[in-house]
Amino acid sequence: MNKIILDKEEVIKIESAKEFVLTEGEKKEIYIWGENDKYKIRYHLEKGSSLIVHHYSINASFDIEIELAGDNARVDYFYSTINYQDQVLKFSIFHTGSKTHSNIINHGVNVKDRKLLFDVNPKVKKNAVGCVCNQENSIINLEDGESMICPNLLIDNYDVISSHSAYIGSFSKEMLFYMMSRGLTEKASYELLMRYFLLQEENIAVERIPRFLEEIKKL
Amino acid sequence: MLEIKNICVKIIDDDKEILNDFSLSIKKGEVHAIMGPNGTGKSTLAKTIMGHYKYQVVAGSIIFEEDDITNISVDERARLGIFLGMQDPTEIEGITNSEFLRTALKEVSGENINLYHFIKRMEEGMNDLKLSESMLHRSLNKGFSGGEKKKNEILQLKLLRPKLIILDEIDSGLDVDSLKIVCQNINSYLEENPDASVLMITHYPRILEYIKPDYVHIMQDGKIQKTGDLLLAKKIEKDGYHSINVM
Repeated sequence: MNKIILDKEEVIKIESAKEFVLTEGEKKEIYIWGENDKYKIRYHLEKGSSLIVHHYSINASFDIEIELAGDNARVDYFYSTINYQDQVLKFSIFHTGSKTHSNIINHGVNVKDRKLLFDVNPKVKKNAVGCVCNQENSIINLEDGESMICPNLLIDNYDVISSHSAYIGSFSKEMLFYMMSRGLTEKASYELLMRYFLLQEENIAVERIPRFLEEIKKL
Repeated sequence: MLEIKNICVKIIDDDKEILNDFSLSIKKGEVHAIMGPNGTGKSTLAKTIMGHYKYQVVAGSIIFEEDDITNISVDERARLGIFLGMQDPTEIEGITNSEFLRTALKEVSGENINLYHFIKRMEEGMNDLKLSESMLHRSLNKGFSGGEKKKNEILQLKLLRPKLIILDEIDSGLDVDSLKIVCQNINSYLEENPDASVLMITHYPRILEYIKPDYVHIMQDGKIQKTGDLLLAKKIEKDGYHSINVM
C-alpha cells in the first residue's frame, strides 16, 4: 500500500492524517498521492500565503479541510481520482480571512458500478470580505456508477465572488466526433481526453506520479 | 472523387427525414458550393458525409474514391482524406492545440511525427493564417474568438492535407480581413493540391468571390433543386430564393 506525499524536494511517507501550515507570505506547490485508504488532510494558510496542490488518488477517500485564516491567503487545488470502489471526497474550505481566494477543481473517473461522492463545502464567514470562492466538479462514469456531487456554497457575506459547477456523465459525443473527424481513432480520442481530464494541468511534473499515469493508460 | 447516390438520411431515433433521395457527384479538383434557405439539410449533408453519430443513412450510398464509405467510422473517413471544417468547432478543455494536431497527424500518417518538423509546419501554417503562436498551447478551440476558431480549422486542413474538403459555413463569424486570409489559404492549398476537391456550404455569395465554384447548387427539402454557376448565387443574393422558385 502506498501512502506518500511528494513535494518539490522529496517524497514523504505519511500516516492517514497530515497537517500543512503555511506561515505569513509563504508560497508552496505540492504533489499529493494516495491509494487504497482513507486520509484526512488539513491545510492552514496564514496571511498572504499561497498554496498550489496537485492531488492524485486511486481508490482512496479523503477528508480535506482548508482554512484560509489570514487575509489574502490563496489556495488552488487540483484533485483527480480514479475509483473502482465506493469512495468519498469531503472538502471543507473556510474563508476566515478577508480577500481570501479558493479555486477547487475536482475530477473523478468512476470506473465500475460503484459510488463516488464529491461533497464540497466552502464557507465564507460573515466578517470575511472580498473573497473569491470557486469550485468545479466533474465525474466521468465509465459504467453504471452511482456518482454524486454536492457543490455547496455556504456564504455569509454579500461581498463575495463565487461560482460552482458539477457534471456527471461521459465524455461528450460531440468531442469524440470532432477528434475522430481529424483521424484519431476512438481509442486514441478517449486516451487523450482521459489523460487531460485527469492530469488537469499541462505543466505538471508527471514524473512524480508514475503510478497514476500507469492507471490512466488502463482506462 | 465523391459520389452520393440517392441517399435518404434520418436523425437517429427519430422518423424525421432530413435528406430525401439526395445525389451529388464531385470530381477531382472541382469546387462545389451548396446554398439554400435555413433548415434545408445543408449541414446535415456535411455531417453525414463525415459520419456524424446523429444521422443515419437509411437508403442510398456514399462512394469516396470508389470505396463505399456509407457505414464506416468517422476516423476511417478522415484517414481516407475527408476533412470537415465545422461551422462551430467543438471546444475541448485541457487538450492543447499542438498536442491534438500532433496526435491527429500521427494517426493519419501512421508514423511518429518528428517534433522539429511538426513545429516548423505549425509555425508556417500559423504565420500564413496570421494566428498568434500562443494558440499552440491553448486548449483546443477554448476561448478562441469566432475568427480564431475558423482559422484553426484551416490550420488543421493545411497540416492534415485532405483530398476532399467540406466547409460548413466557414465564412460565418469572420470579419472581412479574416475571410480574405482564410480564403487565400484555401486557394493556395488548392493550387498546391490540384486534385483536391471542395464542397462548400454557405449562405453568402461573398466567399464565392474568393473561392470560385465550378458549380452552385441550391438545396430545398433535403435535395438539390437547381444547379448553376456563380451567377446563380449572385441572383439569389439580389432577388432571394423566391426568384428561382425554390421557396
